[in-house]
Amino acid sequence: MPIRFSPAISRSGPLFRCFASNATKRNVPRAQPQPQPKPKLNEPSPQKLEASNQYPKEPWYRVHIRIIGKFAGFSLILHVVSTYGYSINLTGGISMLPTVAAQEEWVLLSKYHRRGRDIEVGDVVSYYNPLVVGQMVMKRVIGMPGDFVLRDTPGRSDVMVQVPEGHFWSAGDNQAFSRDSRIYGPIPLALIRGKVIASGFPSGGWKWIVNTLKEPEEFRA
Amino acid sequence: MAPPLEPFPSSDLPKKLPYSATGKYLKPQPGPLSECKLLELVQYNCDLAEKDNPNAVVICEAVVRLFRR
Amino acid sequence: MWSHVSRTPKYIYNIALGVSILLYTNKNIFITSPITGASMAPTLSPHHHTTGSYDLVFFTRLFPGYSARKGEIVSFWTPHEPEKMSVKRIIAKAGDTVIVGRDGKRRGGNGVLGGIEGEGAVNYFKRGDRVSVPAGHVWVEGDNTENSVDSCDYGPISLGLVTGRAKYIVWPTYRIGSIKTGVMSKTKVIPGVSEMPAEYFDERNQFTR
Repeated sequence: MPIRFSPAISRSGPLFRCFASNATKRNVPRAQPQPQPKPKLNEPSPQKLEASNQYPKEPWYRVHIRIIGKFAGFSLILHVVSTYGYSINLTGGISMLPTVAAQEEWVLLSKYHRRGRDIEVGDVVSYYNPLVVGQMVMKRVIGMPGDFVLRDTPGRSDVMVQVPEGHFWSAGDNQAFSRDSRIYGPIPLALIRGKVIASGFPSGGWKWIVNTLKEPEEFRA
Repeated sequence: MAPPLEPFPSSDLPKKLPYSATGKYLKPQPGPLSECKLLELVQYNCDLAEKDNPNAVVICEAVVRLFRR
Repeated sequence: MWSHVSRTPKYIYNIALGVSILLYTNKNIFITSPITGASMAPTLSPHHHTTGSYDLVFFTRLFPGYSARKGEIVSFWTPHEPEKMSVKRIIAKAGDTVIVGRDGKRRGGNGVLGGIEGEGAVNYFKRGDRVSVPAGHVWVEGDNTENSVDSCDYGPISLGLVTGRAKYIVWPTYRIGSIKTGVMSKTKVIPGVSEMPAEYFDERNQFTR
């Protein structure tokens, strides 16, 4: 059995190196010269046989299964991260126009805010349309539970409603072309998928989406 | 969808103010509206400058919403 | 695969994969959860309010919003408490008109059930009200509707809130079996066809998303 030395010891002097070489020589049985069999015509050469013994034979499809399995595993982890962490989604539509482009713009969602956790008035959220199963909508939050909001477009009428418990009131940034709470009323907070925190294009131009509720620059009566 | 909402004109707002979303009488009471902080949120009315030309410039005019908190 | 590239130990990948499989399965394929409360008696957990015993129920979570049908028992996020799930039976689908069978109980003034009259009163349904269920919504009620908080209190719920469909009782052993579907409540439902609001149709009357 060969004796292993750490580099520090083996560097300390020639004596140890000498001892090590002796020890290995003593323990290793002397190699016996093997009689080489005569190579026959229709048999694989001994080199080929040796190679096939070193690497266990594996059917070709096993490799494919292993690669597909690894890929499925990684995509499953990625899916769970995009369900509970962050996800990137393609958007479309003119309802958020000056903030988010009408087409081909991507948004980054924070899924921590799903079901309305820590959402404030002025945030942009992505939620499921309460009228259409599975359709995702992106709008700005105008009212949270208990708040009093305008029911219709500002300037058209002065009818107000109180947002019921567990609901929020939404409005698109492009008030001229937006189907929001003015049509379907208050939306359950549980339909919120996440908060939109950034938007941009694959080619670049990424920017943060900020809460635009702020103190007025000038006093407007 | 919640039960039908009770719409009211904005002039009735001071009467509704002391109640929470569940109809509870709030304690402590919020102060009068004029003492709440004034906030604004700017939204827009955006449309194509020419109706039938999809390549036309998009023109946005601001719609200001005022908030009291 | 890239073990020669990354130095992350293999067990971290394995733990992440295990947790992901568990989360994915319980969110998108199936879940078994206990039913507490008396609202679904006698179908589920019939003796919960007296002895505290409860049923474990198997829910499928495959495309719940698309596949939920009238008469099925579904689990959903409650509209008034966004972090709470509830289990009720679908009584009416979108487009139907429901004649509400009992007064809605809302938490009103000082936490008293029944709401309050006056300026701060929150609207709630009254027995005999006619409610038409909007598109993409369903009307849900507990089988024990007098002791349940359901659509009579918070109105029709969006199908987007539905998270699963109850299929089997898996525990206790003497109650193992599949759950019957079908409407048993006395609530009157007038069938109808659901319609989207006019804003969803363009000038050529085509539905636009």
